[in-house]
Amino acid sequence: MTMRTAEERALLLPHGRVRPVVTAEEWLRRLLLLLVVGFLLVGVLLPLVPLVARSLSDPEGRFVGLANYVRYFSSPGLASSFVNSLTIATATTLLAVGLAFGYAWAIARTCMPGKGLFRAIALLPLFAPPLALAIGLVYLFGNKGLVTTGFFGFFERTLGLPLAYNIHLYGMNGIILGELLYCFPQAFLILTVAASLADARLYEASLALKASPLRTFWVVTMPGMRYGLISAIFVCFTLAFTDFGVPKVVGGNFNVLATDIYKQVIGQQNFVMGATISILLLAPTVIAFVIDRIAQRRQMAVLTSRSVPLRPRPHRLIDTIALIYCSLIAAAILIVIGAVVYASFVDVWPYRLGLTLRHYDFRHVGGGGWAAYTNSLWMSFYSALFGVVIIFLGAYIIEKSRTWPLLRHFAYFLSMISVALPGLVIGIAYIFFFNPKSWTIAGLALPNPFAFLYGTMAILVLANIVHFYTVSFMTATTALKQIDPEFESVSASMRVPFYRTFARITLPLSLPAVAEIAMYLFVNSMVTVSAVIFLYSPQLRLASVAIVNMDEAGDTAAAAAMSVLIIAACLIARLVYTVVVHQLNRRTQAWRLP
Amino acid sequence: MGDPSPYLQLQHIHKRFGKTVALEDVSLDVRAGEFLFLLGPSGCGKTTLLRIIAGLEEPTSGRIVQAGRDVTRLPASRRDFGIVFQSYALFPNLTVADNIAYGLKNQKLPKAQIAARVEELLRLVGLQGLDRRYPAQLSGGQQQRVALARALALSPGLLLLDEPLSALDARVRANLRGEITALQRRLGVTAIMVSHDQEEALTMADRIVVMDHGRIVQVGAPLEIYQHPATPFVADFVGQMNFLPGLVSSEGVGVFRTGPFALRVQGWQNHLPPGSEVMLAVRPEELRIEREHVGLSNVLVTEVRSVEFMGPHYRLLLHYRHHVDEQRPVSLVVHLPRHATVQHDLRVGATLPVHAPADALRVFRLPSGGSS
Ligand SMILES: Nc1ncnc2c1ncn2[C@@H]1O[C@H](COP(=O)(O)OP(=O)(O)O)[C@@H](O)[C@H]1O
Ligand SMILES: [Mg+2]
Repeated sequence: MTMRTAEERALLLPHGRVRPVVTAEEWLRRLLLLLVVGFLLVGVLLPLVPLVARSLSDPEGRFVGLANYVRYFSSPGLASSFVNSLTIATATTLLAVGLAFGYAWAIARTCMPGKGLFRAIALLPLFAPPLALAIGLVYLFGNKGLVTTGFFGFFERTLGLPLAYNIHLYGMNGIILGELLYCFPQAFLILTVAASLADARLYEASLALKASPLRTFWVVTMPGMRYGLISAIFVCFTLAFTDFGVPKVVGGNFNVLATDIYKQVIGQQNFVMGATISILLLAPTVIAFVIDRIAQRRQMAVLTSRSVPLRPRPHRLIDTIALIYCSLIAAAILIVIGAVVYASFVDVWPYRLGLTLRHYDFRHVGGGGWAAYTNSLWMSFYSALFGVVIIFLGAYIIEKSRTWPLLRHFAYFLSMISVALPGLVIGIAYIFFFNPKSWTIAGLALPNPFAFLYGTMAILVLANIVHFYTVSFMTATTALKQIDPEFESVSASMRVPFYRTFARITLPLSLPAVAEIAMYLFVNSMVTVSAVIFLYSPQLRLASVAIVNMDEAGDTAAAAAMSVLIIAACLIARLVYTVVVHQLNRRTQAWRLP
Repeated sequence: MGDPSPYLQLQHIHKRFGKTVALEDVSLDVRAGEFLFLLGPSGCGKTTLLRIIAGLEEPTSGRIVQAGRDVTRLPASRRDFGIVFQSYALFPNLTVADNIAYGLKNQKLPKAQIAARVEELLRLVGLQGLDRRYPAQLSGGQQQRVALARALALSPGLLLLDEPLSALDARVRANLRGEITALQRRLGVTAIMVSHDQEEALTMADRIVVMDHGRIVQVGAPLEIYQHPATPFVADFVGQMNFLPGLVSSEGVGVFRTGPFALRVQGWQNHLPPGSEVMLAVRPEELRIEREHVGLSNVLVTEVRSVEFMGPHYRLLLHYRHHVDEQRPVSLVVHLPRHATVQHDLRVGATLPVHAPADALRVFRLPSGGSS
């Protein structure tokens, strides 16, 4: 026999594969996979088609190529928004990631006291709509704000000092401050994970080599945090670039893409321009998404290597500096949220500071009042319930089955891209996709089978599930990956159907992740405004949209009250989650490692 | 393979993952009731073959017949086997009893019958009284016994084990070796075990299948594999082996030259032209140190390079002159029983005559000619 290279031999060997008999169980798995793919197609991919098509057509539906984009960039009023959005997003990202890096580092690597409390405070803004953060800023730095008026003239009267200070909130300053509050906890969460992954052995080696602390920081700390930093930058940039709530409240005449879309669609009913700007809103987030995916793929190696967790050592000076630093940031967060809570109870800010509950009686303001609040609660509940079922089953079938590999990869891809879709884009795409009674495709009118969803609770729930799909999906996938893949093999060898193993083993082992996903979906559905603002109907008003309406109408105190109600619901959801997980851990501690 | 009715037949199994060829034309008959080992270095395709036998992986092509039934296209859930993994794959949220009963419960058997069977299996693997524990509360060895009991619960016709002992420490491993073999004999179940540990295979197996790069290189009983390795690879992988460069000598059939010495090899039938290069192989424990070598044949006069104490024996590293390249001496390892060392001068640099018995020597042709 003559010697051949491995490649040559491989070419000579048989291709293809023996196709196993398809059992009823396999059909069930296929059905499940098809349902998940169907959901993602209708929820994520297909709605983007009419969105892109609209941006390439004139209002009568004729194809015009890139004419809309040309028109956008040649009208100075609109084009400046693009630059504004980029500026806001860049500034916010630098500030949020920089501040959060220090905060996360202080919590992970120093011995300062009160770490649990600082952690909780840093995460507090996650439980408030960005709109509420902006309203808090208005009460502090707006025209009648606490700081702007020098504590309502208190300093002037008592000390004779003109300590009033106007930061000129409305415009760029306000937006950046608001987005900073909004993005900080997100960056903090990501960087905390990165900081806690540190390998003590590297630090010991660095110490043994007598490297200076600064050098250790650059050579050991920074490389370890690199992927966390990339991720945090990506998330903050995307959030700040696409957020609608903060600029809506404190933007003043400073236009950004998100508010432009709102004005074009809601104000001028100009759907073509709305679609065009949506695509522009999408572009940077898609680029950021791709970069992040590439970076994360490289990180695998870092994560899988065995590392020894780092235990911080006390250091008087560093611990004190860390404590002061974290206290300042925590105080800033508490003051803004505190201002919202306080203002919601004040009779007439800033003239009559007596406390009252009258702002919680929404009968005399627009927005839908308590009915809107109940609607939001139900919507968030449904989003959590159906979302967790769909997302967990989707992650399960992708991670734990061997059914139709290509379709599974496609489902994975769809599950991952939804994170790149800003809420506004989802909202406007859904209008184009779900609203028409029929679609016109190549001159043919096709009845729209999904039109019945439009204006219902279902479309709001769908939008929320899709909007928050990727993060939940990754939580589920991470949990499933930690479960021995051979459980499926062992079950098959004992002729136990996969759904029984799912119910008896996989699901019980994943309950903490399931609870986390449900909580995440509930909280985010409560606070979001961007996707739903295009989709709610007058019969089905929502709490977060009510804040927008009340703020527009000048009923800021009522908007603050509604904000407080939303924050309360989110904190209660978080409390329920904590109790549930605690109970779960107690009940299952027998079989967790001793 | 003249077996009249093998329990399991693998015919021309190929498996590729994209460009990687994991298995190449694997054919094998497994006899009913035997304990067969798949032995080979990591990455040679053992696990893949085991998974194909189980139906957990589809072959690219080939045929599998189990108990007279063509199972090639059947998924795992329609085949008849029990399996034990290196990771044990015990369900952490179920007790020992529930783990073992997992498949039984699905069969809708009466409760009492399930309980009795679980009890029987626990006794079989020596874990009575631990039925209410969770896997995390057991030692590694105990966990592996539970996995074994669970795999046997449905009385499968075929037991598959993928490196079940490699995650355990040495002492537990040695105990479990004996227990698994005894259990397999007692139940008479056909078993296939994957291992990369030759010692494990030699002590436990009825027959060993040695694999390399996705192919079967040799099939045989442990002693046969050890004494008559088919290729240098097998010789080297199973046990230890000295490889000495050699030339076919013109002094007669079965005589070879290595260095300045002549070695006669018993049972050598092949007629290679004198001067052909070959490889002579001999195991370290089969070499003898001779005090008086004058008059003896098959003796290599060597120089001591190092002596290492190994516990039961000493490991001697010896050198002698190469017949072509004088700069590159030939190395030879000899295992010498501890009590035998007193009779010899083992200082580094000392001269030591080594006797290589004619029946302990094997000859391999060099790779360009293919193996003998
Ligand atoms: N799922 C897979 N995808 C791609 N390659 C694989 C897969 N499983 C095994 N291989 C490759 O097939 C070869 C044989 O692997 P394996 O059967 O696990 O070897 P062993 O069990 O002998 O260590 C290896 O080269 C391995 O990288
Ligand atoms: Mg293996």
